[in-house]
Amino acid sequence: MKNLFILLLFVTSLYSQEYYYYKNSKKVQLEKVTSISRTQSVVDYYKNDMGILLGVSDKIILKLKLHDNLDNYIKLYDLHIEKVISENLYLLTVKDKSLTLEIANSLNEKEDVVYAQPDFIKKSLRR
Amino acid sequence: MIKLLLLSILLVFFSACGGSSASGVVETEDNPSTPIENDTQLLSSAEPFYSQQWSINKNEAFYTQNGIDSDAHIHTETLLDTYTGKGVKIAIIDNGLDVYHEDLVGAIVKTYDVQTGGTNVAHTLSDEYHGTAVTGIIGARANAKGIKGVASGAQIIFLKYKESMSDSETVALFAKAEEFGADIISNSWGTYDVSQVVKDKIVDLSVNGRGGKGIVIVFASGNDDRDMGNDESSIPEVIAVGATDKDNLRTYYSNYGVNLDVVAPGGYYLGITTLDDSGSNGGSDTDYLLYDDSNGFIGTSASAPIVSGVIALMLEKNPTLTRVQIEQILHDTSDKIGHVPYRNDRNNYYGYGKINLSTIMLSI
Repeated sequence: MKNLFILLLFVTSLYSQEYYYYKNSKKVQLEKVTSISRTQSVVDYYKNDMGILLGVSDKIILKLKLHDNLDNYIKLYDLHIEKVISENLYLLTVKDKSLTLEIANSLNEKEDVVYAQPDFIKKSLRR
Repeated sequence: MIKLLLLSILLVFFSACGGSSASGVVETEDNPSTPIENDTQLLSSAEPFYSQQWSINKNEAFYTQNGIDSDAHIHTETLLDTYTGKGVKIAIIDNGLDVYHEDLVGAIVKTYDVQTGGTNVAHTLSDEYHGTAVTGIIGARANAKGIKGVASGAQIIFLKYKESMSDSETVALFAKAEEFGADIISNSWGTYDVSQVVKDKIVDLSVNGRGGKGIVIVFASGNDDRDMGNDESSIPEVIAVGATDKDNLRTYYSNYGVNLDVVAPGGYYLGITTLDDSGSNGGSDTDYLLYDDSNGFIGTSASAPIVSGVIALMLEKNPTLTRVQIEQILHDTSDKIGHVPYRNDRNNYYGYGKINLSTIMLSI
C-alpha cells in the first residue's frame, strides 16, 4: 500500500508540469530552473513568483498540531526523522528528492498539519 | 618554610603568566576570545579614527571638511563614555569574523559556525570582511587602537551563516543565539522570502525569549531601493532599519515599506568607518575600513548594527525593558527627518524617523 502510494506520487510528479508549494495555505507557483538543476545533484532549483531562487533538497519541514499522526505519515510517505526542531516541528527526509514538493504538498492537505514545506535553501544576501 | 614561600611565589608567577596570549585573549575551545575587562574605560576621543566616525561623533572639523549635515549623526553626545552596553549580550549573524582583530580583544564570548557545528567563524574567503565590519560597528572596544563601537562594552556572540542556507539551518542559528543567552540579535542580511518556519522562530524569540521580555531582533531593510516585501525585516516583531547619508536623508538604495521601523546612518558618499579583517585579509591592506576607502562600508548593513548597539545601551540602563517597550521607545523618540509627511508618526521611507540616542536615553 505504502509503495503503491509513493509510486502514484512519483508518476504524478513525472507527468505534472506544475510545480508549487503552500505558504500560509496559499499556493505559490514555482518555475524549475533546469540550467542549475541536475539529476545527480542533491538540490533542485526553482524560482518563485517573486523571482527568488529556492533550492529544494530531500528535506521537508513539518509542523503538526499534535504529533499523534506523525508515525502514520512517516510510514505512508516513507519518511525519516532527521531532527526534532521543537515541539511538533520536525525536519524529515524523503527517499527521493524528486518527490519533496509532492509530499510536502500532500501533507499540507492533512487536517492536523499546520504547515509542511520543503526545507528551502535560500541565498542570504549581505546588505 | 622558606621552600614553601618560594613555591608559593612560583605558583603565583606561573598563574599570572599562563593561559593568556600577549594580546590579552584567553583562548578556549568554546570561547576564542574570552573577555577580560579593562580596568579603565578609555574615552572615545582616544580612538585614532574616532574623528571620522561621523555616524556617532560630530567632529566639527570633519563635518565641515566633508560637508556633512550637522544632524547626520545619532546624537551620542558624551553618552558613549557613560554607557557601553556592559552586561548585554548581542548575537551577530553574518558571514564570518576576524576574532583576533586588535579592536575586538575581549569582545567575543561565543562563536558558532552553522556549516561545521564548530567554533571557527573565520571568513571562508580571504577577501571577505562583512561580518567583521558589522561587528566593529557594534562592539569595537574602547582601547585606543582604532575605532569605538556603539556598545564597546557589550559581549558579542558571533554566529556564522552560510551564503546558501536552508530554513532549518536558519532556525538553528536563531536557536543558538537563544541558547547562548543573547539579548539582541543583529542581522545585516535577508532573503526577501522568509519561510513560515523561520518567521515562527523569530516571532517566538521576540515574544518569549529573554525570560518572557523578548529578544530584540534587528534586521537591515536591504539596499535595493525596493519594498521590503516578504523579507525577514518585514516581520512586525522585528526592528527593521533603513539607511541615511551624510545629508541626513534616506539613502537612495534603502529599502522601504509598511514595516520599516527606523533609519540610521548607513552612508553613501561617505562610508561608515569600521573594522576590516586583519593584515592583508579583507577589503583593504589595513585592519580598518575608513570612510573614504574605495570599497568603504556602506549600506543598511551598517545602519542595523548601529541600532543594535543603541538597544544594548538602553538595556544597560534598564535591563527590565521588554522588546515591545524598546520598539515603542525607538518609535516615540526618533527624529522626523527627510522633509516628508509623517502620517501617524511614520513614513514608509523613514519609518518612525532617525534614531536619536540622547532622546532615547532621556526617555528611559
